[in-house]
Amino acid sequence: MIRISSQQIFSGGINRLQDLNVNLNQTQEQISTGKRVNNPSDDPVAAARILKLDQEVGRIETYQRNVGLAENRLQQEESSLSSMIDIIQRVRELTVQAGNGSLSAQDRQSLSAELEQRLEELAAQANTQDSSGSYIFSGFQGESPAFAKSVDGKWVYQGDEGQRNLEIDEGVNVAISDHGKELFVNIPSAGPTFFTESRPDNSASARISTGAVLDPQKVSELSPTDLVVTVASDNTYRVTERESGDAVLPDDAADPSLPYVSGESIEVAGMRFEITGATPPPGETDTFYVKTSDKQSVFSSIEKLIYGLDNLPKQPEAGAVTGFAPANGDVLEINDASFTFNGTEGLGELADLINNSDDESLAGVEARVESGELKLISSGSQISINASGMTGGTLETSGARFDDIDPTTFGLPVGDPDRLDQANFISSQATYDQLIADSLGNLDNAQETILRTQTEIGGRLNQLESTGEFLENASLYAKDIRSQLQDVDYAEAISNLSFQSFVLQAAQQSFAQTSQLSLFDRL
Amino acid sequence: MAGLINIGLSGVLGHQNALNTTGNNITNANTPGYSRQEVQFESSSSRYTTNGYVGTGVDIANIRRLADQYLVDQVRSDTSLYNEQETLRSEMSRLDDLLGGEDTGLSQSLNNFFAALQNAAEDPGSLPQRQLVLSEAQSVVNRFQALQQEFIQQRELVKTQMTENVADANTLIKNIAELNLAISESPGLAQGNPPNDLLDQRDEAIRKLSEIVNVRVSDSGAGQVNVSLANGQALVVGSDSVQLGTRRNADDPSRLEFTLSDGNRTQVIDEQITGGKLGGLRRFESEALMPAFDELGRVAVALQDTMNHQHQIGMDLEGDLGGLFFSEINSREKQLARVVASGNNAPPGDGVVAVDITDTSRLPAGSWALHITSEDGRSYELVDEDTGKVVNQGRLPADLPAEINMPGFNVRLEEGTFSEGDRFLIQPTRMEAANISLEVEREEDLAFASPVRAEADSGNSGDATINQGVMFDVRNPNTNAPLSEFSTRGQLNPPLEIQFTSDTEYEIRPSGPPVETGTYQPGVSNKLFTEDPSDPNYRGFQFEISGNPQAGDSFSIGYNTDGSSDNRNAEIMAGLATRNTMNEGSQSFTEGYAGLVEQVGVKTRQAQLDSESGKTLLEQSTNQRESVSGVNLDEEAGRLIQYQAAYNASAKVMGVAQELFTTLLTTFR
Repeated sequence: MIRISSQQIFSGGINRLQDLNVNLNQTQEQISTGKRVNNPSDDPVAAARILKLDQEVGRIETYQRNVGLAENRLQQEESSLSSMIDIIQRVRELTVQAGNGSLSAQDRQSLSAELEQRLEELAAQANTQDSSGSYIFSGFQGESPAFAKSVDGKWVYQGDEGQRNLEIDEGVNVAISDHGKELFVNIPSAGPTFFTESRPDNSASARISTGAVLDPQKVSELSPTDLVVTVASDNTYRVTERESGDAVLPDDAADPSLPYVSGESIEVAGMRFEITGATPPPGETDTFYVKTSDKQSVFSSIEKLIYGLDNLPKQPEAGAVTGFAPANGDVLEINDASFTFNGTEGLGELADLINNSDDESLAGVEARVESGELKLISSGSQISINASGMTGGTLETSGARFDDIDPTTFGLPVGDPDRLDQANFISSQATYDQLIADSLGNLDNAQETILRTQTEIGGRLNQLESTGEFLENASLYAKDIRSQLQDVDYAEAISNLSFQSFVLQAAQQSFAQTSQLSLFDRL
Repeated sequence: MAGLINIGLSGVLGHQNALNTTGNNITNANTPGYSRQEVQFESSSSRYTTNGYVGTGVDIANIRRLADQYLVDQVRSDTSLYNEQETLRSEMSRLDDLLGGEDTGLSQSLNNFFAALQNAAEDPGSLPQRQLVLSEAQSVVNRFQALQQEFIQQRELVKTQMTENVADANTLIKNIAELNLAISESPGLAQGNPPNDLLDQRDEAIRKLSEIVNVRVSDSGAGQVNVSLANGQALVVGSDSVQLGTRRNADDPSRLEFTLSDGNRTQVIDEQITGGKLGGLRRFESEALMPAFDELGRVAVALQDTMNHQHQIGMDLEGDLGGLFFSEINSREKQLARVVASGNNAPPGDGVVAVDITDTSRLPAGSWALHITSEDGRSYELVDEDTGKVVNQGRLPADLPAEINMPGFNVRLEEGTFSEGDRFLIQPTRMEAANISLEVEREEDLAFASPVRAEADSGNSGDATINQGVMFDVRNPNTNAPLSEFSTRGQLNPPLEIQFTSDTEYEIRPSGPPVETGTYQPGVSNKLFTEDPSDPNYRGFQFEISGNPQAGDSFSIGYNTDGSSDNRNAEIMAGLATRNTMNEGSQSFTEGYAGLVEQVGVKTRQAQLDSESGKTLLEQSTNQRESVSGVNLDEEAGRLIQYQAAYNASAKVMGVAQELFTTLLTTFR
């Protein structure tokens, strides 16, 4: 028989009560905190996983926040771009109006004034700022406006090609900005074009105008070479190729520089522009860059249009033939039409030939003999005369641009670089019409570029939406697992609690009863 | 008749003693260590008569103490075990609460910090967002330091408990020796009557000692016992005793070591302290607390290093390269603080050793001991403190400084004399969590941008595009020398131009002659510049061009001046939250910390289970001892009745004798 000591009865009873209390307290803690794992030691593996899941849930919340922020940004960008599309659309309408042949000088002026307005509006949109004051189209350089006016008064992109990405899920980045260079600058041009730039350290008043393309053919021949115009302090200028330094105007490096007159048009390689106020200090030069490009910013396109409205007069007259005495068998090509002479013809016969020709390339070209000259009048396209078929006779012209005919060189063999037998006549009207057509093309291209980005933004917004949904699910899932690991099963816990308190009560009662039993009471 | 009176008297006296003993049992029912006693009666030797032997009454042979030495020993060893486990459990629970608590642990603040970075990346120019990053970073720093402080407090608490327990043990040891003496000198011993109460007291004193440390007890005769530590180191021999002590550990001054002194000499007995509270404290210190220090330090050092590197290759709001984000991990002070020279090193003991952390992704948590093993001071061994295994050994070069390479860190012996037997404790991460600090002071100094950018020339006719590049470094990782590209403040030195000389060939030139030429493959992404730091053309960054370039196209690479809206570096820094930057690329910071929490959790759980089972064992053996030695009041009440009845009966015997005598007297009157 096992003996039992009185101490055992008491201490054993008390120990059991302790244990029961501890268990009850644990269950009570689980219920009051709602957590099964209150200390890592309650379930070490689960505790470590809970830490990871806490991080996971926190990360998902951050990503969800990012999705929201990215959506806001893209929507702001989207709305800016929509406004710009509207503005460009209005500019396009104005351009169509400008193409109307019956515009008076005043009409042109008011159109040009409105275009200036629209240009400012467009620039304001391109310089949209976000809530913290950063310019959204400037790439990485959010502190500076995307576009600012250069000294020449032209809108110039100041940002870079930086694009900001935001992580919206593990390894998933979405672009939340687009730089203005891609959107507004790198727009394919309808025809070969150029833009002008002053060197930053030129004399203070020196400016170069936007300019206009007179002869696309010539410009595309020059491209991609850029030109440099150097105005010297003795009021002369030269034009050279930028990379090679080869002389362009005058075309021989040995020739003396041309006299510079402020504001007078310089026409070179199919382009026309004006330099004003170049007053370099003695011994120094003012330098201007004329860069050919097959891309043109939307701002440049509108600036060119304004330049054209302001500076290209509506003159159909293109040039004149001042002397004509063909030899027998000489051939003259005008545009695509070819005329052969027997040596007896004069200006009158030439005029008749041109006017009576049914060649398509001569449509819209009129020849008129006035005061001893044959005036060439073009209402649309340009006129080019090719005298390479003339060997014996003479041909004198005036008003040709970039090329000229010199009958004294007709003796040289055809193809000799010194033989001058080509002439191009461009009427301001033709240039202007070309400008309008190009501008329409450029504006369409600009709209298309913006639309493409808008489509892209739409795609990004879709991605954000689907990622947002995914994150929502992932968050639910992670929380669910965490809850499974961490949270108490209330039904179980409460049933445990009531069972444990029942046991504790029973233990207390039985302890009280047994501890009262003593033989001494009976003595 | 005289016989009968004597018989009755012997009964009265005998049972009086029995009643006394029972009374003593009853009153000592709650005395710890008390063993119940019982009177052993024996009949007095009979007198021989012609009729045979006639009894002469009762004698008390002995007052027996009911104790079973085996059970006493069992209780003692279970007491040691339980106290060791319970001490371990209670210390572990503290650590467990600390690390796992939502508000006291590290994970919450780490998560908040990276979330703040991620949010700031959305709007990198925003000062309030930057401020939030700074304050969250500060709270990470505070958390590390607070945790380290808690660890230190617990370490000091462990030391205090050790000292207190050693003082208690010494009192008990002395007490046992005195009791030994008292028992051996007790008068009844020679007659086989042991001093029961002294024996109980001694057993109780030894039991109490076993609460503190595991002891072995052996009988040395003459009623005395010898008490020794588990491996035989004597604490009490007869009436002689030695003194336990604690002092600062010579190899690791932050810890205590145990000593034993017998008045003449003092010896270190660290390894022999097992079991009991002291054993539990030692186990807690070496198995849980020190690894926790090392592990937390490892997370701290990895976080500092990784964030610092990424931040330093970024560009701040004012266009400067990023500085340190957290404190530099290899400052001179820190390098020296990672090594503790043993106080026992041979004079002059001026060897200077420093630890340089070279790769936090490979850095293990732990501590090592550097032993100088040869007479010329040039052979060394590096011993892993945890496993006790030699992990690295070799010869030092004749001239210092010398370096011992370990995974993730280098041990550098810089100068001074190294003699045979010198020991240095190498703790690469022990104090790192205390030494972390936030170095970025102003919001503007947060380097959220990348210092380089690229641009295509507006006159390009091809459709090739250039990306914005990736930054590797601003110093060469092999030589740690700053790259000349970033030597000029706010500039790329020199800015570079990529010029296509044909559709498939390009030249890279700063200005003047090309520094690099390359062949371009249209249609795929072409990398510019090498990612290999040992290449002389290594520039610390890389760009990619894709698409179809044409001759004459050019791209420029320059410093990201005014790049206030650039968030590239912030995105990368935020991404470090989940990048596996630790443990050979298998752990993120949170996982590293979760590993520590799990380790401590597992150990705490184990200690809880052990402590519970230890408690059950102790209860069982205590119950067994109690069932032999414990007082049962009911039993004693029964005895009281029994002895009282016998006493009364014996008195009656004497009464009968008196009556007989009276009868006899009246008969002859």
